[in-house]
Amino acid sequence: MAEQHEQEIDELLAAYLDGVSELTPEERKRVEARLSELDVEGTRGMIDQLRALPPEGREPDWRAMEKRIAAAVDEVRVPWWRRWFVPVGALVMTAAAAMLWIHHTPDPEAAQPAPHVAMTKAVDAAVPVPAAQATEVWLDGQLVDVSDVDEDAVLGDLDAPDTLTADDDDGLLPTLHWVDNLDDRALDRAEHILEKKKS
Amino acid sequence: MEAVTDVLDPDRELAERFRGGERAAFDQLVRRHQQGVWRLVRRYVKREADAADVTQLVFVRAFKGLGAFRGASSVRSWLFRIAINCSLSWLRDHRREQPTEIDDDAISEPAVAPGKLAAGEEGVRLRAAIAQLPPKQKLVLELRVFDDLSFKEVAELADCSENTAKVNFHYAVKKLRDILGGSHG
Repeated sequence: MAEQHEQEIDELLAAYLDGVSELTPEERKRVEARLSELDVEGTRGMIDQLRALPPEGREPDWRAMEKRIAAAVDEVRVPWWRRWFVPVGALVMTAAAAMLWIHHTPDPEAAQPAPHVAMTKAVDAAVPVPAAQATEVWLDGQLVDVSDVDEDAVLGDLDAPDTLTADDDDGLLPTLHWVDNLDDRALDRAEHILEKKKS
Repeated sequence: MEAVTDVLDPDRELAERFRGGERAAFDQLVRRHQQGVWRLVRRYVKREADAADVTQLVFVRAFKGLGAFRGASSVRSWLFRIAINCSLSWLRDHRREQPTEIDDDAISEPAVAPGKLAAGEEGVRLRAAIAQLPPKQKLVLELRVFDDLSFKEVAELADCSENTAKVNFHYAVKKLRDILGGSHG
């Protein structure tokens, strides 16, 4: 136990000799109590000899070294405008792309009406409007006011025959409205002919 | 304790000024520490031209990193940490090129006066003895004796407690005395 205690103190001896102030008061007290038993002068002499050793090699020209370091640092030093170049450039490019996207909408005809009207319509579309007030409709790229239209004239058309499908000779399917004019006899005859063709 | 370090570290103000955009503050740091950094590097890198290259690299890295330096240690021990890292990295990359026995620079050294020859021989013996120390003891001894660092700074660089640094220093000195025998007893 005593030996371990002595060893702990011995371990602080060199530090004590080289810098008393760096030891805690307790460490200092313990070392000083042990000093008389140790070869203090030998240790001190060793440290002094080490400190007296000249530096290894020949020291360079410090002025030249300083200039050399300054030049090397200047190479890696980035000017302020280059430091901001990339982020600001990216911001400008993004803003330009956003402006282009806004001004070049896909349907140029849709942009024909006056901006004021278009804006009004956009706002109207967002806000629910009572059906009675909805008198304007957007048809084929144009704003149409339907408040003055005669309802009978428009709705009357719904009861009329679909002339578009019946009389449209330009349609993909052949017009077959003549079938409705056939009498029972003609139909029987037609069925008979078809039966014959099958057999 | 941190506040005490702030007051005691004379480089702290220069680091602050550099962070504020004053390039001259960095030049002043270079002037103040290039010698110490070079000596430290030179202990690892044996050719003087290479040591100069590594020293330059140390300051370039310091220039890049000083803006982020928050002062957990002194500026000097931070610089020395970079120097140790750069030196070890350089040694790893140039392992085969390092002179092993006779330094070219040593051959071209001017002849010394006979009176100084004994001291020179003693120095060679001492350096040979230091080379035989275990790496940790060698590092602690060199940082303490050759670089004049406090035990606190030595501990930071050697990655150990301050007390461990003191104990390593003790054993390094003791072992040197054992190696060199009676002439140093």
